[in-house]
Amino acid sequence: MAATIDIRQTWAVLSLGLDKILNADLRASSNSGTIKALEKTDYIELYHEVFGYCTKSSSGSRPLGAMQAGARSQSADKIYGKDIYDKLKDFLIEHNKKKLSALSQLRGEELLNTYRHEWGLYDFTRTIIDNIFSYLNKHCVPRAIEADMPGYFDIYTLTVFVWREYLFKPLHEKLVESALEMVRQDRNGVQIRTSALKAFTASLVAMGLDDKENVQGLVGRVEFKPKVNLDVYEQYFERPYLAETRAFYQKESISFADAGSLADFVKKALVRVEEEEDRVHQFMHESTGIKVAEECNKVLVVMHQDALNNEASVLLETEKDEADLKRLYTLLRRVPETLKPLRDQVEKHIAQHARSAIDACGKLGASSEDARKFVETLLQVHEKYLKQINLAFENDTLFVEAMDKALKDVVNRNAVTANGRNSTRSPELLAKYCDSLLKRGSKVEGEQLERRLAQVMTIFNYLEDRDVFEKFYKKFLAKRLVTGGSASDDAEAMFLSKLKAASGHEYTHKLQRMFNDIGTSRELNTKFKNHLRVSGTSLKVDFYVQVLTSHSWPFTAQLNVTLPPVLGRCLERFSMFYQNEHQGRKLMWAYQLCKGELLTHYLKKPFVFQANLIQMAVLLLFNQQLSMSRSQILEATGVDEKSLKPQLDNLRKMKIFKEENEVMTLNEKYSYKKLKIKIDQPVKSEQKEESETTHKMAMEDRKLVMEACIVRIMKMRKRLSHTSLVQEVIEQLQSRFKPDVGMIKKSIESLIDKEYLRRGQVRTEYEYLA
Amino acid sequence: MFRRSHGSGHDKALNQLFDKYKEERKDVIGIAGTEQLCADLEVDPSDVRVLAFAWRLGASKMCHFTRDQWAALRDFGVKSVADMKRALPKIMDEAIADFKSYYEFTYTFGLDVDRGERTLPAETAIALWRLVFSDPRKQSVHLDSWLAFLEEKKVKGISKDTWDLYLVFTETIDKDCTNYDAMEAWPSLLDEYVEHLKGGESQ
Repeated sequence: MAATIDIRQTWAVLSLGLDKILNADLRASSNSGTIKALEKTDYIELYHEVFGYCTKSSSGSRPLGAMQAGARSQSADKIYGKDIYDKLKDFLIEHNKKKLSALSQLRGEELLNTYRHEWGLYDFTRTIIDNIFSYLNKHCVPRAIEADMPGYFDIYTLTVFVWREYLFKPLHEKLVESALEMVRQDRNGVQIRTSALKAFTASLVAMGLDDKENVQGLVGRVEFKPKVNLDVYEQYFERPYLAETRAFYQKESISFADAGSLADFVKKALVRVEEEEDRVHQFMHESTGIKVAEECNKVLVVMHQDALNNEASVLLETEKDEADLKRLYTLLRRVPETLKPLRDQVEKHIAQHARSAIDACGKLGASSEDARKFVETLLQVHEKYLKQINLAFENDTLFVEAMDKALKDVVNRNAVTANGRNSTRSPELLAKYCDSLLKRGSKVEGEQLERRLAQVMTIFNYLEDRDVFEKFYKKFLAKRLVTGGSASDDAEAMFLSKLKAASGHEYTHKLQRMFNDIGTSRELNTKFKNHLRVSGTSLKVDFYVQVLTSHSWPFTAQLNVTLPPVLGRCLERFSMFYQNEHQGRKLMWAYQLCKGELLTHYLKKPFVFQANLIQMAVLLLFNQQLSMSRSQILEATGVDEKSLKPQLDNLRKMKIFKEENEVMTLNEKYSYKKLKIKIDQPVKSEQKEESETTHKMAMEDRKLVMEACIVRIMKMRKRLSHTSLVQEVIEQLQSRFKPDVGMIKKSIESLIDKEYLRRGQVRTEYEYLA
Repeated sequence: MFRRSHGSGHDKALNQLFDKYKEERKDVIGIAGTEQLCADLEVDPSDVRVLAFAWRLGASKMCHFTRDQWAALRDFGVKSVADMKRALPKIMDEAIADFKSYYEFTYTFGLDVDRGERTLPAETAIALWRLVFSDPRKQSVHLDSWLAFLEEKKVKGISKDTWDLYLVFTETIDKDCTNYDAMEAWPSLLDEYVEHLKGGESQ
């Protein structure tokens, strides 16, 4: 039989120790963490007291291990140390009750400060008590829990449980109200000390006991780590705090929005939102941050979103500095849905502004000056809003997209394109602008040119009708290349690679071929010259030929001229040479592009006329005679009247000819201030016609491309519904132009007519006819 | 010269009837013959019954019947002009019963193949539309406004596809086109018509 140990005796020792611990003044505690009132030895002694009582009250002779194993089947009253546990609990309850009655006398900040002090003291002793009674944690408590006895926790948890139930709960209303009152003062600008609040919320977090988890923790492993949840914090503090916050800002924002300007409201709201964030950092659990932000968003942003968006439209319209807009954006961004109206407004605003900027250019034709005005106006708009989006909206993609959408719409549909009722005028002007940058005589060079060409790509990327751009670009490029009118090969190549990057290899394929032809022609002419030298032939004129692949260039043999003998001979020699080099190829001569220089011997000074082929054919006739009638010239040159007439008129206007009764006579008194004279002047009506032809060609091509695309799709699919076919066509073609659904339909009908397709059994389907 | 079909007495009478109208030099009934035939039948050449008659015979073009086509009259036991007169209402009944075939035939029939026409000129198409829908048993609620639209828009030609689909259109779409869906692959001319119709209402 084991010696009976008197519980009263043991408890007398323990309660004395506990009294000392709990009533010690924290301010007197040393840095080492132990309490002055209790020496280290006392502390160990208390532990042994518990240990001794528990072990001796079970069986002094049994080893610990055996006792543990046997303990599993013990009933409730045989749990050793349970009486000590109960005594400890009673003691703690009494202690907390005493503290409660002292705290109940206080209110407001004073209450919170005292609470903070008491909690600090108590919290500090919890570990110590837990250690002293740790033997209970290991043996008594797990067994009690296993036996389903309620109210048994590890000692550390027990201490806070008792605090919560016997001190905090009776006092919570007063405490929370005091805390909220302090926050109210803080919000109203009265300086407060937040340390009491911080301690208060921290104690609430500590009180969140996850009872169930504790059970498992204890049974599963003897080593126990207290687990907490936020239930107490959330229920007793966070919930009323959030309600208070909402009410406060609801009231404030309404009175403020009514009284002050909206811009000031935005400023204030942003400050408030930041303050609230700080408040959370200072004295709340971090999880409250997002909830406070939500409350603020509701009453400061969502509730006022209409007014805020109205303000935004005013700011956009008045174009004041970006700071107000940026603040507005920063506020709205807190609730992403509220940005949508702003984004829509920005889009609308940019579109409007861009359109009126184009309107302000006046009527725009197709001249390079008009092209420059058009493109540079668009670029200015683009630059302006790019800057605004950077400054006010932090390059938010939402707004970049809004700008792109607006500008895309304007580039393709504006005052200029409205004239032609379609969007194809924009690509024409853009191509023209490129031409003016790239051709000889352009004042833009070097880095500036590079920058301009990069800007052109900005507009190009907005273009829907890239096929039309390609047609015009090609036309201008052809002219530059054939006449040697390019300012720089590097710039040409650079821009070509930009186009390739933006639209793909296929898009620039033909353009690339044109450059290749020019290079090949250069080599070919050198060869030809060598050939002539070797064969001892002299053509008597300087002769240069460009051989161009017919499908890559926008030229055809469209002009007939009976060549002057001297030129006829050259052509003949070259043709022979070329056929020898490349058998089976056919040369067609684009006479309308031929240029030459004629040296005069009949005038006082040796003038050089830079002439086109018609002019050369006409002037060389006058080597034989001094005057000829228009009809004689017509017959001798073999040029059609429509092409010949403007040239003859020009020669007369330039006073190289005198005309009387339709008879042209060489003016032998002709003179000019310069020796070299470009008599090949462009005929105005021709230019306009050319532009229209190019537009027409682009549209014709578009029809072909579309029909080919439909046939290609149908050949692969054999059978397809109308809607899917239309969709696929749009998908495949939109990198070149924006296919119009009506046009697709007409193409389909045309293909039905040509019996490439037929309607299926189901009317909305088409079938491919092989 | 004898043809195989001259065999029976019945066919003989039919052939003799053909011979009465056929051209002197060619074994086909041409314009003059058709006019005579119409006169004998006491119908106007532009009468809908003539159209149905041509459909039943499978004529490939206007005012042109071959002996082979003529043989179809055997189905009606025709031996004389009087027989033919009696057959006309029956032929009309058949045309109404097999309306789709009759309707689609009308387009090809209307083409002036001798001039290489592949698309029906709007003028001809309009006349044929009126004709083909003239029978009280087969009417088109859209006809008047559709034809008025074609005239107003100065449409030049009507494709076979549009012609064929008009029948589907008028048989399925209500007068106000409330059940019309432009996404349903109708020919674009019908899209324009419906748009025109609806635009007219809203003004």
